[in-house]
Amino acid sequence: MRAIVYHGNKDVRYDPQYPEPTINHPKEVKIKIDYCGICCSDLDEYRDGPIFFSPDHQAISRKPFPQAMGHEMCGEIVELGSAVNANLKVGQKVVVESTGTCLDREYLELPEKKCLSCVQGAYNHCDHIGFYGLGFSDGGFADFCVVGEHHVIPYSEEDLPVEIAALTEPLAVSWHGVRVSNVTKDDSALVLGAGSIGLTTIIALKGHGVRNIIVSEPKESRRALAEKFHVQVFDPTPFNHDEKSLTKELLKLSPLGWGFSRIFDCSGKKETFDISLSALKTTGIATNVAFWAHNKQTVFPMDLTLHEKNLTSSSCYVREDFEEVIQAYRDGLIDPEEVRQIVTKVVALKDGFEEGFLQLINHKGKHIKVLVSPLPKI
Amino acid sequence: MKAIVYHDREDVRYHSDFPEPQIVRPDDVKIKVHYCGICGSDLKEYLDGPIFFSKKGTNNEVSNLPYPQCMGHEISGEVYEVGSEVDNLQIGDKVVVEVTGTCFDRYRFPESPNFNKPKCGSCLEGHYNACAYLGLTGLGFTNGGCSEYLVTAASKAIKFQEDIIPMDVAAVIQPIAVSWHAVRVSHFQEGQSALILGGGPIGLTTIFALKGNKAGKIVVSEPALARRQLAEKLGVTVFDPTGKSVDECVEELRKLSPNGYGFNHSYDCSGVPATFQTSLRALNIRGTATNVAVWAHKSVPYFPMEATWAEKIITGSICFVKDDFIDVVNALHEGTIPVDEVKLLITSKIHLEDGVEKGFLELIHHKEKHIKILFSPKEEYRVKK
Repeated sequence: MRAIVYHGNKDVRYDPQYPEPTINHPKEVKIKIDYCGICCSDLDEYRDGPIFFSPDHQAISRKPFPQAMGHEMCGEIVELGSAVNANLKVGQKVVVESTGTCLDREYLELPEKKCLSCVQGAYNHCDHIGFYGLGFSDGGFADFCVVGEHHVIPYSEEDLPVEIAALTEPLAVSWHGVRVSNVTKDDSALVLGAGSIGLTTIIALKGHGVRNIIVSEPKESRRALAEKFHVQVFDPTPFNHDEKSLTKELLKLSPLGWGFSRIFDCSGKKETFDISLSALKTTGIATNVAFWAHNKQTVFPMDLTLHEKNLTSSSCYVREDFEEVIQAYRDGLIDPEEVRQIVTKVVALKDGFEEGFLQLINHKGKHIKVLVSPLPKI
Repeated sequence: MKAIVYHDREDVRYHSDFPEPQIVRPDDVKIKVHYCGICGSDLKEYLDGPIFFSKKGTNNEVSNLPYPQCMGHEISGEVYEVGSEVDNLQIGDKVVVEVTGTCFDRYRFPESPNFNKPKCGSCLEGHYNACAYLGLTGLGFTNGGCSEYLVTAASKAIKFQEDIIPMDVAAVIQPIAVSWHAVRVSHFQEGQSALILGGGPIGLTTIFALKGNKAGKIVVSEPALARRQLAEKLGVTVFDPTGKSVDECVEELRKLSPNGYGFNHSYDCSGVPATFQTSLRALNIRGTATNVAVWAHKSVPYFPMEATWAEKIITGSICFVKDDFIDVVNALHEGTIPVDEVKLLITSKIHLEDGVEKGFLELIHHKEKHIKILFSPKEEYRVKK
């Protein structure tokens, strides 16, 4: 079959003769891929990796390198293992919860013990977490993908058009971030960054009933896109060299000027980290949704303490986040037409590396979400 | 009256004839002090102040009162006189005092230029412990309890039963309320495990607050032997971090947690970079690290990805609200906080006239010898010379 394959640092190749995966376990499901999104993690792996494609995350690996990339996938079931749950059927449209963790050790009947995170049921914190398409096993920049049945969530095209189903994965990341922050509809939310995750966070917040949403984003084109989601946008660039002034301006946009109850850092830079704390109100919660390199920030414990501010982070997702996102579409809490705005380019699988990866790396900021598809007509 | 009075940094004096406060408002109550403790904040005010006290020559933002002022905010006493509209208290009632001075108290000071100032953001939501203008009785807001009498609003006096809680133990209720508030702010659940960094007075009162909240395993990390021994008497597991790196401490502390991964909660009652790091890294998945210590405006390094992988929460707790006092009094009445154990924290009781030498200076120079020193105006504590 065709696939985009990770071989190593700065070595990702399109291969038209890659071995097609087969069902090797009675609880596996084979999927014909419709679409699969490219994520920053894929680009990091190419540029700075191997990160997930490394021994730490390989501990549960289903399959050695090289591996097909792609973890934001949707497709159609074409084959079922002999012991797969009766509610999954050939022909169903599905999205994929793409983690590979100790839970998969269980179904694969591997002898190793569960890590201390998975023992507590916290699979998204697995010590050796990998993903289909990022270290665990072959992923969705391909014609087919085989996954464990517990990773498959069916959806109906009436609720969710196939062209945007692949965004369920980044939506689940944001949905999880909003969930761990105990958001209610009365919260005032500031979203820092209107890239892919910033936009899915806006959608996740609206899906939770939050109406008071401000988005801070330096790039004009991204602000223009965010405005299409009916939120208030803010340009931080005139104040970017002075945290005090920036905080003051943002506070003016908060209820009565006393700060936001929830702030989501979807950018992951020193400036956004600092603002995520300084623009919070008393007892507010700042949640990091961005994926950082292992770099250092500074926190002033007394700043947190004097106003009992909370600083936390959201990691990945669990199956419930996918289920809740699909349900939110069904309940009309997520508007597919808004989600469609996030997709700025769709490329054929054979062009996925040049027109996808390299475009995103070399023209950063021109695109939000690029989808790759093996379908003949896209 | 006799009183310990704040004049300025490094200038705290015993007065034998400081003006006795009087009832002014119909909702005021006058309290005859039995005991009053001092704490790290009082010592800081002496060494590095004014901090809670306003800048020299200026007045408190809420009360508009100047200083020199009586210190002392950890008070136990009895109701001596009540204002004409007080119906919740009677003369002779034994009380502790919720000592905050915030936006909610502006109504008591009509002469203040800030009398009509709207409530700050914290007070608007009832979080007056985080008031933008927070002051304390005994620390700038109004005259405090290192004295014979003090006057406050009747709503700030909380009754307790002397036959269950002796008057000296009652003076420790305020610091326990500080810890109780921290335990509440951290959303602690019954049966959860907790790590306390620092076994000084606030570390120890945090043990009581946790017991009162029906904690599971409690571990206290403390370098001083005498303090570890006292913590052990309170029935907790102790850990000595001396000579160990943060990495080593975290590894050993995690092994002491019930699931071997980490604690549900940590409370930094010490407030240095090493305890901050440890408080975060020794946590379980989705654990919460709560800073209780008072820091200067200092920063610590923070690695977002360390917290991210396990969805850990960092927060801080400031001061207390009236409910915390009420909960602590109830816990002492019910025995979930054992009165006998609280008594162990009182290492000496002195007369007001010795307050500077045997109180402030003693704690500043010989911290390791003491936990809680109580001041009292009672004759029995006067040392016959």
